[in-house]
Amino acid sequence: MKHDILTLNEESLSIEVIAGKINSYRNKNITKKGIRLFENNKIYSTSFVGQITDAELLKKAAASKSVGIPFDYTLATNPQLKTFDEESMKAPLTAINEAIELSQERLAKYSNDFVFNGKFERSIHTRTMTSADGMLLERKFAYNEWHYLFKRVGSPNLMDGYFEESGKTLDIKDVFDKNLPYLEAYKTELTFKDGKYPVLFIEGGQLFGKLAESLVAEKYCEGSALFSGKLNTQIFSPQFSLYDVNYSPAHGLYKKFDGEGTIRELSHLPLIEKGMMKNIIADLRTAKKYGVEATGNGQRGSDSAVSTGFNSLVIGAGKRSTQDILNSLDECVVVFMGHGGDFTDKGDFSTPLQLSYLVKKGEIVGRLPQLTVKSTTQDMFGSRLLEIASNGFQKSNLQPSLFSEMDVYVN
Amino acid sequence: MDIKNILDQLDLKKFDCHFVDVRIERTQSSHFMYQNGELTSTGEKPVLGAFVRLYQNGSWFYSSTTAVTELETEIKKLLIQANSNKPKANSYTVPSNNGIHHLINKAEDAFSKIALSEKVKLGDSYLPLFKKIRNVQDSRLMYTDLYKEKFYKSSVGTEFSYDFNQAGIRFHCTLKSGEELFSDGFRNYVTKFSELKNLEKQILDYFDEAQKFLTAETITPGKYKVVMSPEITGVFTHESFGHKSEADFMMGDPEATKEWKMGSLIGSTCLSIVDYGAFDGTSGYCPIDDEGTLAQKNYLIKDGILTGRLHSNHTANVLEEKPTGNARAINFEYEPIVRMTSTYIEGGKTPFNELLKMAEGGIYFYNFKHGSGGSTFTIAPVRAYRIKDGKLAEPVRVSVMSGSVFETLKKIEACGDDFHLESSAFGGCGKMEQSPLPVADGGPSILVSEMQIS
Repeated sequence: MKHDILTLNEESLSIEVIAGKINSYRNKNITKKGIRLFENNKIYSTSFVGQITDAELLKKAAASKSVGIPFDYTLATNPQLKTFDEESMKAPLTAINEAIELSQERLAKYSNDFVFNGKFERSIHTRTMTSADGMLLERKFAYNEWHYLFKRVGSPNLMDGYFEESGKTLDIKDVFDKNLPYLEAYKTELTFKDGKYPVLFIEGGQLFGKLAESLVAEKYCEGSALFSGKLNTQIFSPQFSLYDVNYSPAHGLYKKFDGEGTIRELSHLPLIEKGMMKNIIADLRTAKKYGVEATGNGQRGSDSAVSTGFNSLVIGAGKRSTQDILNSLDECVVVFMGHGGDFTDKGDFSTPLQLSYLVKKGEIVGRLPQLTVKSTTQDMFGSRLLEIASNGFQKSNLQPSLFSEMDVYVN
Repeated sequence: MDIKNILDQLDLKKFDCHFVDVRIERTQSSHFMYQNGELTSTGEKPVLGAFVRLYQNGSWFYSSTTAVTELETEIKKLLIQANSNKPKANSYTVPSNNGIHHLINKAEDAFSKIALSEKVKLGDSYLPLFKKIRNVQDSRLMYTDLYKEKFYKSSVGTEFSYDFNQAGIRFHCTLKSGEELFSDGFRNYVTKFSELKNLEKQILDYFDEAQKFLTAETITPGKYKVVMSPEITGVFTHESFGHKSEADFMMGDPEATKEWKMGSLIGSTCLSIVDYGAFDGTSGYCPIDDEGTLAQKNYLIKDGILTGRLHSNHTANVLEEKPTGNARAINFEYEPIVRMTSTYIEGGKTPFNELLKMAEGGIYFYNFKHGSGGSTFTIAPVRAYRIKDGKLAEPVRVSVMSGSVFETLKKIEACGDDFHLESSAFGGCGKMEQSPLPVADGGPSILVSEMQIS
């Protein structure tokens, strides 16, 4: 019986730090498997968590076939690809302790004013897809991530801000070099006036909500997305390009093959180029259904069916650095926490800003009060887009900084 | 596999450590989804795994494993890891023996007993409904269920087991008329499969009302009087004050208990907020937490006065208070941390119509997409209406409503008499790496004198 088996393994050491001291160590080594049987144009799926041989899993799946998902598309033909990042795996999991020590050194001088609680994790990820017909897709790499939530001593808030970093290697120094000047300015509380200001979200991903929907084949082709019918149309500023990125080892992205075995060699799939909508993403089912190209975006977990999803949405880089742009702006609202925002179906966007700073000509003036910003998807990447930087706020950010004018209200 | 027997055979007292406990979880879940009438996802997921915690030399050592028959080996490994660490004083006061509580009683109605084909057949029977809804451009029909059994044992002698059973069905449509779009969803939460049948009229009525939003205007940003429905009150309670009541955020802060002094007036006097895990049949059901502390009715605010907070054993230790039954993990892969269960504002006496009269010129919020906590909490609504002449008037589009938690708690002017506790089988609460955790929240309709809406 034709089938494929997805095996995921994660081995990790996670260390929790409370008020600068290690509170706990968590060890994990868990294997999850998912099998798909293809029979009479139907897909039967079964999953398992724990140790089980492929033969046992196949037997189990064959015995438990009950409901199949219809399919009428051509499956990937025995693809083979191996992406092992040996270099990333050289250090043991306990190497994450070095990051803790470095961070403790940098934060020590702030410990009278702030409480720092966080987590450090180093993990090794293995993902394998095999079939009896010869499919053999493997990737294996190590990944590091850490964060600290910080809180001013006596603050009634859950947290007042955070630092975080993830990737193949860590650059703790860069994170603190970029973030600590803002922490220094935390106690300088400013007053502010409603108005239109340049705004930089240091994590820009939350701005993509409504746009992202339009770039997925099913929503786009059904006509239910904001930008349905706009392919090959200029919808944004010529400064704005957007890519689906599947491979960037420095940032821990090794997704050259997707959950259906579709290999995409093109690491940066252009979705928007110079403001023009160029591509939408599709898995094998939606590619066949809507007559578009499968783009290697069939996302699948061990226990889930395939769905269309982005690998990583990344804006095309501009020419000047983030700091150069900040230096050139008379005023800019730099947003470190803007959680809970959303869009209406018309594309109107609004979010409160829990932590933002005023920067004038590159100098941090102080912390802004609680604000709300408002824009629209059409405006923030279109007529009100100011500039896109050549880099992100810190080195580990894959996303270049995006500066857009927004309406800012004091809460 | 007889899990209780596995734990019975495990002698935790013999290990030379300060404290050790073991939690085994066996879950069976299933799901399916139709997209635009096409079955695109279906599956069953059996999981069996254990989480081991050991406290020694001043730190915790955890392991999550699927080898549930080899827990003794796992504990020995943790002990070696603990003893290889530089010793610190054991500051953790071991919990009391909370007794033995075996509460498994839902097996008869377990969704795991129902064949996946029967569940999908039910979904299939609802598909013709989408053709009866006007202006449907895109549709989803989603189903999910979960039957979970938890077993626990600790070195101080506490033991428990209980089970949890829930399912949900959700009908989601994007409506389109001309260039105008509106997305909305009807959902239903159940603890018995039979309750998922005969929903046709409710679904059609729901999407009939949704049509009005296609022509709704976008709100002018500003501050408005607000009436929240019980569903919105629930998410407001959870996001605004529930998260702030989780004592782990106070860890390491020597000033925290002074800032959060019990007995302080922090809300309107008509406001009482409770967290209580013992409501069976809700998604917040947690009769005993993942450290063996029994659920109790915890008043976080009583008549506007701060009266409590949510604890694990660890946070209770540090703050020298009592554990409250709120140490929860999303599954066997994670350690328990301080979480909510069922969190709600207690019902008041004001009829809904009176609340509308008191909120002239304001906005009524009916349901929501998501909410988030923080110094400023937010709720992204789906349906909102203007209030005119003491009645609900035209629909209006809103991205988010937000406010400062402490200011908003003091601006609650009245609580309605229409208390409702809302459960959901889809999603749940997210905190750091652990998401989603099933919780419930609710309350009555409430009137808030001013909130930021944009």
